[in-house]
Amino acid sequence: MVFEMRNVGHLLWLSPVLLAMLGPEPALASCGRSTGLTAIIAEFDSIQTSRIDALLRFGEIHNLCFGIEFVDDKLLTEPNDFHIRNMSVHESIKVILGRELMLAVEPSSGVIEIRRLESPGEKRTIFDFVLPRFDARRASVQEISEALRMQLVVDLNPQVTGFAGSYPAGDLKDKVGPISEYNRTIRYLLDELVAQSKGGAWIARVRSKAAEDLTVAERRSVWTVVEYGVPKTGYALLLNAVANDLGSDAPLRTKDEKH
Amino acid sequence: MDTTHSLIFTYALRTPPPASTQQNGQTAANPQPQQTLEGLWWKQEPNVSGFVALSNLTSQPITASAETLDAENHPLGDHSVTISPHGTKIVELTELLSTSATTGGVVVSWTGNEYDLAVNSGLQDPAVGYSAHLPLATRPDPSDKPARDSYAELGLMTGPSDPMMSFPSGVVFTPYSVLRNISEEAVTATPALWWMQSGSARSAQLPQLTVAPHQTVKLDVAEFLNGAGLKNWQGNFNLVLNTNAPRGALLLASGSVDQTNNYVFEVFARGVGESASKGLHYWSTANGDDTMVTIWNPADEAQDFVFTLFYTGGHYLYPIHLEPRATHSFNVSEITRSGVPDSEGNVVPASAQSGSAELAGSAGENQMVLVTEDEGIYNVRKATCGGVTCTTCNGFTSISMIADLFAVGVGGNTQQTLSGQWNTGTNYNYTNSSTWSSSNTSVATVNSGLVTGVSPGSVTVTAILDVEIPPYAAPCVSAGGTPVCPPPAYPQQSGLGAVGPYRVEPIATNVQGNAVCPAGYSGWSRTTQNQLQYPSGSGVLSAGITMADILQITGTNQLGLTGTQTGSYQTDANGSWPDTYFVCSTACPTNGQSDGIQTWTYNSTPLPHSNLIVYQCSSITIDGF
Repeated sequence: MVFEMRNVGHLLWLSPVLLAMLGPEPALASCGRSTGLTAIIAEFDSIQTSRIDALLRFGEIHNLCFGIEFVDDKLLTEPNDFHIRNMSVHESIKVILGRELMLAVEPSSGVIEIRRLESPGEKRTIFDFVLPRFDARRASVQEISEALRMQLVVDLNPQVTGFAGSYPAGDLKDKVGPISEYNRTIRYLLDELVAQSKGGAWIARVRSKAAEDLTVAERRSVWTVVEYGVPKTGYALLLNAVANDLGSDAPLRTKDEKH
Repeated sequence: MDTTHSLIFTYALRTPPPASTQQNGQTAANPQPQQTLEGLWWKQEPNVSGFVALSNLTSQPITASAETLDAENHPLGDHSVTISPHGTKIVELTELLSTSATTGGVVVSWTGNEYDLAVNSGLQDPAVGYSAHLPLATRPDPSDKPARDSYAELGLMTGPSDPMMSFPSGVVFTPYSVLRNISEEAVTATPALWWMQSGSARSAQLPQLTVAPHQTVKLDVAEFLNGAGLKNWQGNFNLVLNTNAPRGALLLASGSVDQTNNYVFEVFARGVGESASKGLHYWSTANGDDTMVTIWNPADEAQDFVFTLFYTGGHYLYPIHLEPRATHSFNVSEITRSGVPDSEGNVVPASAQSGSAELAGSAGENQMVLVTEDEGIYNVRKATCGGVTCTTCNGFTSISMIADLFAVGVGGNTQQTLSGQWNTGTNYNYTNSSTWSSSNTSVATVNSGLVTGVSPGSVTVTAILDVEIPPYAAPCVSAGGTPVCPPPAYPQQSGLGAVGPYRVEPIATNVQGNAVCPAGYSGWSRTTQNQLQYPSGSGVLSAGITMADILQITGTNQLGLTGTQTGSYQTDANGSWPDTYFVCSTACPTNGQSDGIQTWTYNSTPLPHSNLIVYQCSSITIDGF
């Protein structure tokens, strides 16, 4: 397997140029089109929603896209009230997610990535996996997301001869691509996908520890792409489904538990 | 059949051993069981000998032994043979010729599975044309408790033969009856004689006898007849044994033999018990054959029966009225040659010389009756009589509801039907002769099978028959046992149902075309607008319902698809949502098909209906849509 060192901060500034080069249509730049991390949010309220739900609503209102790599049950499902007043985007995100989690909030490729702060010796996860090549014609966000999942599975297990299934169609008019990338991490490609969309976020459907086992991607989807405003009834159901997926991950023992 | 010597031995075909056991040799970890059959022999005259034919139905050699014993269980001879795969060896029990014993037992044993070895056996004296079956059976389980059962040996003949049967003049029959206890417990048997005299049933009770474990007893039938005042009786009679023994403990052999020991008219003991109709596998009147049928009414009340002859192209109904305990014997040729139309106007054509038959109550094949019957095909010219006499105890082979997975809307109803499939092919409707119940009347109620939805949820509806009906069984006497029809029961059946939404169906195609697939793969993508629907097909027009699915590839999979997918959706105000189905395969774009089953829950409640998804390289259909 191949991993790419995570040092993509410089891409933040290159990304508008890169995205503009990706397809016949310019990237919609819905993500961060009018809002930077330092911009001040005058007012944001979310009542009795989970933290991730509130973050998605926050992003939807302020044209911010997210790559949420760290999730747990509480973040996804525990309802809270949020009242943001005159706070920077960066601070607002910290408040919404809870400062006690020590999460890293970093912009990358037009997307704000949210993950745990790195610690020395931390293992790479499925999102660090590098695809030698990923090509996709222009298609809907969900279709490209599914194509990326299939490409990942094929690269992990070349013996796979076919895929089939069904997935929520999402917004069929929200098209991205075409995409032709070499040696990119899954994280990068998801960022790119979301950045090209009308606006949304990708969310890990696997716990951090479980994501260290690459074969998890052969068994089930390890991310979901949320399109803002889809469905119209809100994000709670989708986030509950993600929480259910987390529950299917067998808890891994920590180093201290190994004897 | 050896017509030169007028010998006849017929045996039923055997079910081969399961394939899984055929290749399994004995290993230390997998020791094979010991199988034992015990049999009964008797000498009608001094020159009778016996044989045991051993057929290996497996692909491994089998070593078997056959040991002969006298009436008191003392050994007479021991034979050990190895039968090659799919081979047959016949063990001649020549020691029977030299022993002074006149009755005894045979024990056949081998290591392996029950069905590995087909064992058939017989007694014979080719010089005079004597042949009879040597019954063999598995010993009863030592833990089986004694039960009171009755076995009837019907139509035993004594004295000069009935002219109706066309035997040569001077043929005089002598009845015999032999029994052996093959259990480890002493058993008792009380014989009784039943015969018809001046149109009335008469009987004589005889003293009880006790048979020790593995003891053979030849009943002194002549003395029985003397004791009953029938010393010079000419005709047929029934010998009934009322036993107190574990089921299968007694091996019985009986019949009538003429003075030359050439005509052997074997009678196979039948269990006396209530049953539905009975099927007789075969009758023949061809080439000098005739089929003698004896029917006994063991009940305390008169009964009416219909004996139906089936033959190619038709059937004939022969009504029989039997007073309490009465016996009726007839030859099938009497019916076929009578030329008398039956109640339906049928006449048996001359070309009909063989077929099958059924003995039923006058109310139909599913009427419970108490009747015992026996039949035998004999041929005076060939001096042969006997054959495998299999009788089916007609009964149900399955009980089913018209839909054991039903759905009904709130306030709606659906009619459930309970039916029983019989071995004869008839399907009986038991809906109105069953007691129906609902596992949760707050979800659905049921009345005579009519299910009414009360509130959304799952429910189990159960129907229990109010009438006893028997299960189908086909006991065959050739195996050596005494066939007893299984007792009737009150079968029941349950059906799982749902009240509320029933299924998901596509109502429109939003878009379809080539799927976005990894390099080297191609396929199809189709986005449909799916809708949650009631059983009536109308949509559940409600937003915010959580739909979750599991899609599994199953059955046909020519495209080499893998994996199971799950997803969740939320309904809009039309009860619908867009769902994208896709397939990508290295087998595409050539032809091929894979099938998937998509099951759904709505707000965590399972839907009864699953969707069949057919994936092809350039199309995807959902339930044929």
